[in-house]
Amino acid sequence: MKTRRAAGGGQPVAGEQRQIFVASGDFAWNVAGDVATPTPIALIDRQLQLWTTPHGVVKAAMANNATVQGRTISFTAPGRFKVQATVDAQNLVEKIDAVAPNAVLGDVPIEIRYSEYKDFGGVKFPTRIRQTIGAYPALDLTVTDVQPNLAVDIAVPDPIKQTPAPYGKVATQMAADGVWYITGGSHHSVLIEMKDHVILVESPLNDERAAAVLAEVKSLVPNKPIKYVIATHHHFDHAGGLRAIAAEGIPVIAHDVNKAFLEKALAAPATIRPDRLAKSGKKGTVEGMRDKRVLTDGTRTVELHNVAGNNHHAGVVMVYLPKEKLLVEADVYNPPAPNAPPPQTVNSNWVNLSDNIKRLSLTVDQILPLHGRIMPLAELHKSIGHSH
Amino acid sequence: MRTFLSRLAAVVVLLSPLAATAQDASLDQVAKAMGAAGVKSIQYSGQRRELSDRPELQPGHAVAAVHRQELHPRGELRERLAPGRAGADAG
Repeated sequence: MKTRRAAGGGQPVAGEQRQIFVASGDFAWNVAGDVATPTPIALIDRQLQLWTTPHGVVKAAMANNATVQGRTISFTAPGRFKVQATVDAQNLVEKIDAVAPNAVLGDVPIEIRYSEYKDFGGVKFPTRIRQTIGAYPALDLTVTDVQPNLAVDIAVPDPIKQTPAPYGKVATQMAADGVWYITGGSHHSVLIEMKDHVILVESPLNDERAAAVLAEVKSLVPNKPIKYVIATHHHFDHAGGLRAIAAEGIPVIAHDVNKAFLEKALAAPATIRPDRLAKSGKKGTVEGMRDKRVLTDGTRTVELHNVAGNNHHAGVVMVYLPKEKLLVEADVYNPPAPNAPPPQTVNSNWVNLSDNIKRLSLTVDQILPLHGRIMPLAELHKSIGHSH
Repeated sequence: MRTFLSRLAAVVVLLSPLAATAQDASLDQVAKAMGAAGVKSIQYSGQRRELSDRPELQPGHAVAAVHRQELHPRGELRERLAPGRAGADAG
Protein backbone atom coordinates (compact mmCIF):
# COMPACT_ATOMS: atom_id res chain seq x y z
CA MET A 1 0.00 0.00 0.00
CA LYS A 2 1.47 3.30 -1.03
CA THR A 3 1.16 5.65 1.86
CA ARG A 4 4.19 7.83 1.74
CA ARG A 5 2.80 10.51 -0.50
CA ALA A 6 -0.67 10.10 0.89
CA ALA A 7 0.40 10.57 4.46
CA GLY A 8 0.06 14.27 3.94
CA GLY A 9 -3.10 16.19 4.31
CA GLY A 10 -4.39 19.19 6.08
CA GLN A 11 -4.15 22.72 4.99
CA PRO A 12 -0.67 23.78 4.03
CA VAL A 13 0.82 26.13 6.56
CA ALA A 14 2.75 29.10 5.31
CA GLY A 15 6.13 30.09 6.64
CA GLU A 16 8.02 28.49 9.50
CA GLN A 17 5.19 28.44 11.96
CA ARG A 18 5.55 26.04 14.86
CA GLN A 19 2.92 23.39 15.14
CA ILE A 20 1.76 21.67 18.28
CA PHE A 21 -0.14 18.39 18.27
CA VAL A 22 -1.83 17.31 21.47
CA ALA A 23 -3.88 14.41 22.80
CA SER A 24 -5.32 14.19 26.28
CA GLY A 25 -7.78 11.46 27.22
CA ASP A 26 -10.46 11.53 24.56
CA PHE A 27 -9.50 14.93 23.14
CA ALA A 28 -7.07 15.77 20.34
CA TRP A 29 -6.25 19.22 19.07
CA ASN A 30 -3.65 21.25 17.19
CA VAL A 31 -2.25 24.60 18.19
CA ALA A 32 -0.99 27.13 15.68
CA GLY A 33 -0.06 30.48 17.13
CA ASP A 34 -2.66 31.09 19.85
CA VAL A 35 -5.40 29.12 18.16
CA ALA A 36 -6.37 25.62 19.29
CA THR A 37 -8.30 23.58 16.73
CA PRO A 38 -10.03 20.32 17.64
CA THR A 39 -8.75 17.36 15.61
CA PRO A 40 -10.66 14.33 16.86
CA ILE A 41 -9.76 12.60 13.60
CA ALA A 42 -6.17 12.41 14.92
CA LEU A 43 -7.04 11.00 18.36
CA ILE A 44 -6.40 7.31 17.69
CA ASP A 45 -3.16 8.07 15.87
CA ARG A 46 -1.87 10.13 18.79
CA GLN A 47 -2.98 7.56 21.35
CA LEU A 48 -1.11 4.98 19.32
CA GLN A 49 1.96 7.22 19.31
CA LEU A 50 1.76 7.58 23.08
CA TRP A 51 1.17 3.92 23.86
CA THR A 52 3.87 2.67 21.51
CA THR A 53 6.69 4.81 22.85
CA PRO A 54 9.37 2.76 24.63
CA HIS A 55 7.91 3.45 28.08
CA GLY A 56 4.33 3.99 27.02
CA VAL A 57 4.12 0.51 25.53
CA VAL A 58 5.19 -1.09 28.81
CA LYS A 59 2.47 0.83 30.67
CA ALA A 60 -0.12 0.00 28.03
CA ALA A 61 0.84 -3.68 28.04
CA MET A 62 0.35 -3.82 31.80
CA ALA A 63 -3.00 -2.04 31.58
CA ASN A 64 -4.38 -4.11 28.71
CA ASN A 65 -3.78 -7.68 29.93
CA ALA A 66 -0.95 -8.23 27.48
CA THR A 67 0.17 -11.72 26.62
CA VAL A 68 3.87 -12.50 26.59
CA GLN A 69 5.41 -15.15 24.38
CA GLY A 70 9.16 -15.34 24.37
CA ARG A 71 10.32 -11.82 23.62
CA THR A 72 7.00 -10.64 22.20
CA ILE A 73 4.39 -8.70 24.16
CA SER A 74 0.94 -8.42 22.55
CA PHE A 75 -2.13 -6.45 23.45
CA THR A 76 -5.18 -4.88 21.85
CA ALA A 77 -6.97 -1.64 22.59
CA PRO A 78 -10.37 -2.61 21.15
CA GLY A 79 -11.48 -0.40 18.27
CA ARG A 80 -8.21 1.50 18.40
CA PHE A 81 -5.16 -0.59 17.63
CA LYS A 82 -3.34 -3.89 18.01
CA VAL A 83 0.24 -3.81 19.23
CA GLN A 84 3.06 -6.33 19.31
CA ALA A 85 6.25 -5.21 21.05
CA THR A 86 9.51 -7.12 20.75
CA VAL A 87 12.23 -6.80 23.39
CA ASP A 88 15.92 -7.50 22.91
CA ALA A 89 18.23 -9.66 25.01
CA GLN A 90 18.57 -6.83 27.54
CA ASN A 91 14.75 -6.59 27.82
CA LEU A 92 14.72 -3.22 26.07
CA VAL A 93 11.87 -2.55 23.65
CA GLU A 94 13.41 -2.73 20.20
CA LYS A 95 10.46 -3.03 17.80
CA ILE A 96 6.77 -2.29 17.62
CA ASP A 97 4.43 -3.84 15.07
CA ALA A 98 1.03 -2.20 15.26
CA VAL A 99 -2.13 -2.14 13.20
CA ALA A 100 -4.34 0.93 13.40
CA PRO A 101 -7.50 2.08 11.64
CA ASN A 102 -7.26 4.76 8.99
CA ALA A 103 -10.12 6.57 7.28
CA VAL A 104 -8.46 6.26 3.87
CA LEU A 105 -6.58 2.98 4.08
CA GLY A 106 -8.60 0.80 6.47
CA ASP A 107 -6.15 -1.29 8.52
CA VAL A 108 -2.67 0.23 8.41
CA PRO A 109 0.47 -1.60 9.55
CA ILE A 110 2.93 0.55 11.46
CA GLU A 111 6.46 -0.49 12.43
CA ILE A 112 8.64 1.40 14.88
CA ARG A 113 12.25 0.51 15.65
CA TYR A 114 14.01 1.75 18.79
CA SER A 115 17.80 1.56 18.90
CA GLU A 116 20.97 3.08 20.34
CA TYR A 117 19.62 3.13 23.90
CA LYS A 118 21.33 5.38 26.42
CA ASP A 119 20.87 5.90 30.14
CA PHE A 120 19.22 9.17 31.13
CA GLY A 121 19.27 9.33 34.94
CA GLY A 122 18.42 5.66 35.39
CA VAL A 123 15.92 5.61 32.55
CA LYS A 124 16.86 3.83 29.33
CA PHE A 125 15.72 5.61 26.20
CA PRO A 126 16.55 5.06 22.52
CA THR A 127 18.38 7.83 20.73
CA ARG A 128 17.24 6.62 17.33
CA ILE A 129 13.58 6.08 16.43
CA ARG A 130 12.52 5.00 12.96
CA GLN A 131 8.98 4.43 11.82
CA THR A 132 7.34 3.05 8.72
CA ILE A 133 3.67 3.32 7.85
CA GLY A 134 2.37 0.79 5.38
CA ALA A 135 6.00 -0.29 4.77
CA TYR A 136 7.01 3.21 3.69
CA PRO A 137 9.47 5.25 5.78
CA ALA A 138 7.63 7.94 7.72
CA LEU A 139 9.95 9.09 10.48
CA ASP A 140 13.62 9.07 11.42
CA LEU A 141 14.18 10.78 14.75
CA THR A 142 17.51 11.34 16.49
CA VAL A 143 16.94 11.99 20.18
CA THR A 144 19.37 14.36 21.85
CA ASP A 145 17.84 15.03 25.26
CA VAL A 146 15.60 12.99 27.60
CA GLN A 147 14.19 14.13 30.93
CA PRO A 148 11.99 11.76 32.91
CA ASN A 149 9.45 12.86 35.52
CA LEU A 150 9.55 16.59 34.91
CA ALA A 151 6.30 18.34 35.78
CA VAL A 152 4.05 18.13 32.75
CA ASP A 153 0.77 19.95 32.59
CA ILE A 154 -1.32 19.46 29.47
CA ALA A 155 -4.67 21.08 30.15
CA VAL A 156 -7.50 20.60 27.67
CA PRO A 157 -8.55 24.12 26.59
CA ASP A 158 -12.17 24.93 27.36
CA PRO A 159 -13.07 25.58 23.71
CA ILE A 160 -11.79 22.11 22.85
CA LYS A 161 -13.86 20.51 25.64
CA GLN A 162 -16.93 22.41 24.51
CA THR A 163 -16.62 21.72 20.80
CA PRO A 164 -19.11 19.09 19.69
CA ALA A 165 -18.03 16.47 17.18
CA PRO A 166 -17.07 18.78 14.32
CA TYR A 167 -17.54 16.46 11.38
CA GLY A 168 -21.31 16.19 11.42
CA LYS A 169 -21.95 19.92 11.21
CA VAL A 170 -23.13 21.02 7.77
CA ALA A 171 -23.91 24.48 6.45
CA THR A 172 -24.94 25.02 2.84
CA GLN A 173 -24.72 28.03 0.61
CA MET A 174 -26.12 28.17 -2.92
CA ALA A 175 -23.31 29.32 -5.20
CA ALA A 176 -25.41 29.25 -8.39
CA ASP A 177 -28.64 27.67 -9.53
CA GLY A 178 -28.15 23.95 -8.84
CA VAL A 179 -24.70 24.40 -7.29
CA TRP A 180 -24.26 24.20 -3.52
CA TYR A 181 -21.20 24.92 -1.39
CA ILE A 182 -21.42 22.45 1.50
CA THR A 183 -19.42 23.72 4.46
CA GLY A 184 -19.72 23.64 8.24
CA GLY A 185 -16.27 22.34 9.13
CA SER A 186 -12.69 22.55 7.95
CA HIS A 187 -13.15 20.75 4.62
CA HIS A 188 -15.92 21.54 2.18
CA SER A 189 -17.70 19.77 -0.66
CA VAL A 190 -19.60 21.08 -3.67
CA LEU A 191 -22.79 19.57 -5.05
CA ILE A 192 -23.67 20.02 -8.73
CA GLU A 193 -27.14 19.14 -9.97
CA MET A 194 -27.42 17.65 -13.44
CA LYS A 195 -30.55 16.67 -15.41
CA ASP A 196 -31.08 13.25 -13.86
CA HIS A 197 -28.28 12.92 -11.33
CA VAL A 198 -25.92 14.92 -9.15
CA ILE A 199 -22.13 15.15 -8.93
CA LEU A 200 -20.34 15.65 -5.64
CA VAL A 201 -16.92 17.27 -5.52
CA GLU A 202 -14.91 15.91 -2.58
CA SER A 203 -15.78 13.55 0.25
CA PRO A 204 -13.24 14.58 2.89
CA LEU A 205 -12.12 13.58 6.38
CA ASN A 206 -13.91 10.39 7.47
CA ASP A 207 -17.06 8.27 7.55
CA GLU A 208 -18.80 10.68 9.88
CA ARG A 209 -18.27 13.66 7.58
CA ALA A 210 -19.27 11.61 4.56
CA ALA A 211 -22.52 10.57 6.27
CA ALA A 212 -23.34 14.20 7.06
CA VAL A 213 -22.57 15.36 3.51
CA LEU A 214 -24.52 12.49 1.94
CA ALA A 215 -27.52 13.33 4.13
CA GLU A 216 -27.27 16.97 3.04
CA VAL A 217 -27.10 15.93 -0.62
CA LYS A 218 -30.28 13.87 -0.20
CA SER A 219 -31.98 16.78 1.49
CA LEU A 220 -30.97 19.27 -1.23
CA VAL A 221 -31.76 17.04 -4.22
CA PRO A 222 -33.91 14.20 -2.94
CA ASN A 223 -34.74 12.42 -6.17
CA LYS A 224 -31.44 12.29 -8.04
CA PRO A 225 -28.66 9.79 -7.35
CA ILE A 226 -25.00 10.73 -7.03
CA LYS A 227 -23.39 9.57 -10.27
CA TYR A 228 -19.82 10.53 -9.44
CA VAL A 229 -17.72 11.82 -6.61
CA ILE A 230 -14.72 13.80 -7.78
CA ALA A 231 -11.65 13.46 -5.54
CA THR A 232 -9.44 16.54 -5.91
CA HIS A 233 -6.47 14.58 -4.60
CA HIS A 234 -5.60 11.67 -2.36
CA HIS A 235 -4.23 13.38 0.75
CA PHE A 236 -5.77 11.82 3.83
CA ASP A 237 -7.85 14.78 4.90
CA HIS A 238 -9.39 15.12 1.44
CA ALA A 239 -9.89 11.41 0.75
CA GLY A 240 -11.08 10.21 4.17
CA GLY A 241 -14.74 10.05 3.12
CA LEU A 242 -14.18 8.08 -0.07
CA ARG A 243 -14.58 4.67 1.58
CA ALA A 244 -18.09 5.71 2.62
CA ILE A 245 -18.73 6.74 -0.99
CA ALA A 246 -17.54 3.33 -2.16
CA ALA A 247 -19.89 1.72 0.36
CA GLU A 248 -22.74 3.46 -1.51
CA GLY A 249 -21.53 2.02 -4.81
CA ILE A 250 -20.70 5.46 -6.23
CA PRO A 251 -17.69 5.66 -8.59
CA VAL A 252 -14.87 8.08 -7.79
CA ILE A 253 -13.09 10.19 -10.40
CA ALA A 254 -9.49 11.09 -9.63
CA HIS A 255 -6.31 11.97 -11.46
CA ASP A 256 -4.48 9.01 -13.00
CA VAL A 257 -1.54 9.41 -10.60
CA ASN A 258 -3.88 8.64 -7.70
CA LYS A 259 -6.04 5.98 -9.35
CA ALA A 260 -4.08 2.89 -8.29
CA PHE A 261 -3.63 4.18 -4.75
CA LEU A 262 -7.33 4.91 -4.33
CA GLU A 263 -8.36 1.59 -5.90
CA LYS A 264 -6.22 -0.22 -3.37
CA ALA A 265 -7.51 1.94 -0.51
CA LEU A 266 -11.13 1.34 -1.50
CA ALA A 267 -10.59 -2.41 -1.48
CA ALA A 268 -8.65 -2.59 1.79
CA PRO A 269 -10.02 -4.37 4.87
CA ALA A 270 -10.90 -2.47 8.04
CA THR A 271 -10.95 -5.05 10.81
CA ILE A 272 -9.71 -2.99 13.74
CA ARG A 273 -12.58 -0.52 13.45
CA PRO A 274 -14.96 -1.70 10.73
CA ASP A 275 -16.20 1.26 8.72
CA ARG A 276 -19.14 1.65 6.34
CA LEU A 277 -17.20 0.11 3.47
CA ALA A 278 -16.09 -2.88 5.51
CA LYS A 279 -19.65 -3.42 6.69
CA SER A 280 -21.02 -3.12 3.14
CA GLY A 281 -18.77 -5.83 1.76
CA LYS A 282 -18.27 -3.73 -1.40
CA LYS A 283 -15.16 -2.49 -3.17
CA GLY A 284 -14.86 0.95 -4.66
CA THR A 285 -14.37 1.85 -8.30
CA VAL A 286 -12.12 4.66 -9.48
CA GLU A 287 -12.11 6.29 -12.92
CA GLY A 288 -8.97 8.14 -13.91
CA MET A 289 -8.29 11.28 -15.87
CA ARG A 290 -5.18 13.09 -17.02
CA ASP A 291 -5.23 16.72 -18.09
CA LYS A 292 -8.94 17.15 -18.69
CA ARG A 293 -12.27 15.38 -18.50
CA VAL A 294 -15.71 16.80 -19.31
CA LEU A 295 -18.99 15.65 -17.77
CA THR A 296 -22.12 16.95 -19.43
CA ASP A 297 -25.81 16.20 -19.76
CA GLY A 298 -26.49 18.73 -22.50
CA THR A 299 -27.65 21.43 -20.13
CA ARG A 300 -24.75 21.79 -17.75
CA THR A 301 -21.07 21.18 -18.40
CA VAL A 302 -18.59 20.26 -15.71
CA GLU A 303 -14.92 20.43 -16.66
CA LEU A 304 -12.25 18.65 -14.65
CA HIS A 305 -8.70 19.97 -15.09
CA ASN A 306 -5.38 19.02 -13.58
CA VAL A 307 -3.78 21.94 -11.74
CA ALA A 308 -0.53 21.57 -13.64
CA GLY A 309 2.74 22.51 -12.02
CA ASN A 310 1.49 23.25 -8.51
CA ASN A 311 3.80 22.17 -5.70
CA HIS A 312 1.14 20.70 -3.39
CA HIS A 313 0.60 17.51 -5.35
CA ALA A 314 0.96 16.60 -9.02
CA GLY A 315 -2.47 15.00 -9.26
CA VAL A 316 -4.64 17.84 -7.97
CA VAL A 317 -7.89 18.15 -9.95
CA MET A 318 -9.95 21.35 -10.06
CA VAL A 319 -13.53 21.60 -11.27
CA TYR A 320 -14.73 24.36 -13.60
CA LEU A 321 -18.32 25.28 -14.39
CA PRO A 322 -18.09 27.45 -17.53
CA LYS A 323 -21.72 28.60 -17.59
CA GLU A 324 -21.68 29.58 -13.93
CA LYS A 325 -18.07 30.87 -14.09
CA LEU A 326 -17.23 28.97 -10.92
CA LEU A 327 -13.99 27.18 -10.07
CA VAL A 328 -13.71 24.56 -7.30
CA GLU A 329 -10.21 23.84 -6.02
CA ALA A 330 -8.50 22.33 -2.99
CA ASP A 331 -5.26 23.26 -1.21
CA VAL A 332 -3.85 25.35 -4.05
CA TYR A 333 -5.56 28.53 -2.89
CA ASN A 334 -6.74 28.64 0.71
CA PRO A 335 -7.98 32.19 1.22
CA PRO A 336 -6.76 33.91 4.36
CA ALA A 337 -9.20 34.84 7.14
CA PRO A 338 -11.30 37.93 6.30
CA ASN A 339 -9.32 40.35 8.48
CA ALA A 340 -5.93 38.73 8.14
CA PRO A 341 -3.07 40.99 7.07
CA PRO A 342 -1.89 40.41 3.51
CA PRO A 343 0.76 37.69 3.28
CA GLN A 344 4.32 39.00 3.36
CA THR A 345 5.42 36.74 0.56
CA VAL A 346 3.50 35.71 -2.51
CA ASN A 347 2.30 32.11 -2.29
CA SER A 348 3.64 30.27 -5.33
CA ASN A 349 0.60 27.99 -5.50
CA TRP A 350 -1.71 30.98 -5.70
CA VAL A 351 0.32 32.24 -8.64
CA ASN A 352 0.21 28.75 -10.13
CA LEU A 353 -3.58 28.64 -9.89
CA SER A 354 -3.84 32.01 -11.59
CA ASP A 355 -1.46 30.81 -14.31
CA ASN A 356 -3.54 27.65 -14.83
CA ILE A 357 -6.74 29.67 -15.15
CA LYS A 358 -5.03 31.81 -17.77
CA ARG A 359 -3.41 28.86 -19.57
CA LEU A 360 -6.74 27.05 -19.87
CA SER A 361 -8.63 30.24 -20.80
CA LEU A 362 -11.15 29.70 -18.01
CA THR A 363 -13.56 32.54 -17.36
CA VAL A 364 -13.90 32.54 -13.59
CA ASP A 365 -15.91 34.94 -11.49
CA GLN A 366 -15.73 33.12 -8.20
CA ILE A 367 -13.54 30.46 -6.62
CA LEU A 368 -15.10 27.87 -4.32
CA PRO A 369 -12.10 26.75 -2.24
CA LEU A 370 -12.56 23.51 -0.33
CA HIS A 371 -11.02 25.28 2.66
CA GLY A 372 -12.15 28.74 3.63
CA ARG A 373 -14.85 30.72 1.86
CA ILE A 374 -16.06 31.73 -1.58
CA MET A 375 -13.75 34.31 -3.09
CA PRO A 376 -13.95 36.46 -6.21
CA LEU A 377 -11.12 35.70 -8.62
CA ALA A 378 -10.17 39.35 -8.33
CA GLU A 379 -9.15 38.73 -4.70
CA LEU A 380 -6.73 36.04 -5.76
CA HIS A 381 -5.24 38.37 -8.36
CA LYS A 382 -5.00 41.15 -5.82
CA SER A 383 -3.20 38.84 -3.36
CA ILE A 384 -0.54 37.95 -5.89
CA GLY A 385 -0.22 41.43 -7.32
CA HIS A 386 -1.81 40.74 -10.67
CA SER A 387 -4.11 43.35 -12.10
CA HIS A 388 -5.89 41.12 -14.66
CA MET B 1 -11.37 -41.21 32.01
CA ARG B 2 -13.40 -38.89 34.19
CA THR B 3 -10.71 -39.11 36.91
CA PHE B 4 -7.99 -38.32 34.38
CA LEU B 5 -9.86 -35.25 33.13
CA SER B 6 -10.49 -34.08 36.67
CA ARG B 7 -6.78 -34.38 37.47
CA LEU B 8 -5.85 -32.59 34.24
CA ALA B 9 -8.24 -29.76 35.07
CA ALA B 10 -6.78 -29.53 38.56
CA VAL B 11 -3.25 -29.33 37.14
CA VAL B 12 -4.31 -26.59 34.71
CA VAL B 13 -6.00 -24.65 37.53
CA LEU B 14 -2.95 -25.05 39.75
CA LEU B 15 -0.54 -23.99 37.00
CA SER B 16 -2.49 -20.96 35.79
CA PRO B 17 -1.28 -18.66 38.58
CA LEU B 18 2.27 -19.72 37.69
CA ALA B 19 1.63 -18.78 34.05
CA ALA B 20 0.30 -15.39 35.12
CA THR B 21 3.27 -14.90 37.41
CA ALA B 22 5.65 -15.74 34.58
CA GLN B 23 3.89 -13.23 32.34
CA ASP B 24 3.94 -10.53 34.98
CA ALA B 25 7.56 -11.25 35.67
CA SER B 26 8.41 -10.76 31.99
CA LEU B 27 6.67 -7.40 31.86
CA ASP B 28 8.24 -6.51 35.17
CA GLN B 29 11.65 -7.44 33.80
CA VAL B 30 11.13 -5.21 30.80
CA ALA B 31 9.88 -2.37 32.99
CA LYS B 32 12.90 -2.80 35.26
CA ALA B 33 15.38 -2.91 32.37
CA MET B 34 13.84 0.21 30.85
CA GLY B 35 13.70 2.00 34.19
CA ALA B 36 10.01 2.42 33.40
CA ALA B 37 8.52 1.51 36.76
CA GLY B 38 8.94 4.96 38.30
CA VAL B 39 8.41 6.91 35.09
CA LYS B 40 5.17 8.87 35.04
CA SER B 41 6.17 11.47 32.50
CA ILE B 42 8.96 11.77 30.01
CA GLN B 43 10.12 14.60 27.81
CA TYR B 44 12.51 14.26 24.94
CA SER B 45 13.70 16.34 22.08
CA GLY B 46 15.73 15.87 18.97
CA GLN B 47 15.67 16.23 15.25
CA ARG B 48 13.38 14.38 12.93
CA ARG B 49 14.07 13.84 9.30
CA GLU B 50 10.68 14.10 7.73
CA LEU B 51 10.07 11.31 5.29
CA SER B 52 6.37 11.74 4.65
CA ASP B 53 4.17 14.55 3.40
CA ARG B 54 3.44 16.04 6.80
CA PRO B 55 1.66 19.24 5.78
CA GLU B 56 3.07 21.28 8.61
CA LEU B 57 6.47 21.01 7.00
CA GLN B 58 7.02 23.08 3.94
CA PRO B 59 8.84 21.59 0.97
CA GLY B 60 12.55 21.78 1.56
CA HIS B 61 12.29 21.53 5.33
CA ALA B 62 13.60 18.02 5.59
CA VAL B 63 14.59 18.42 9.22
CA ALA B 64 12.38 19.54 12.05
CA ALA B 65 13.14 20.07 15.69
CA VAL B 66 10.79 17.99 17.76
CA HIS B 67 9.92 18.22 21.43
CA ARG B 68 7.63 15.59 22.94
CA GLN B 69 6.00 15.31 26.32
CA GLU B 70 4.26 12.17 27.51
CA LEU B 71 2.24 11.91 30.68
CA HIS B 72 1.27 8.28 31.15
CA PRO B 73 -1.22 8.36 34.05
CA ARG B 74 -3.46 10.81 32.20
CA GLY B 75 -2.83 9.47 28.70
CA GLU B 76 -1.43 12.74 27.39
CA LEU B 77 0.92 13.48 24.53
CA ARG B 78 2.15 16.82 23.29
CA GLU B 79 4.44 17.19 20.27
CA ARG B 80 5.88 20.44 19.10
CA LEU B 81 7.45 20.74 15.66
CA ALA B 82 9.56 23.62 14.51
CA PRO B 83 10.32 23.17 10.82
CA GLY B 84 13.89 23.55 9.76
CA ARG B 85 15.37 24.40 13.13
CA ALA B 86 17.84 22.76 15.48
CA GLY B 87 16.76 20.45 18.27
CA ALA B 88 17.42 22.76 21.18
CA ASP B 89 15.15 25.38 19.68
CA ALA B 90 12.11 23.21 19.90
CA GLY B 91 11.87 23.12 23.61
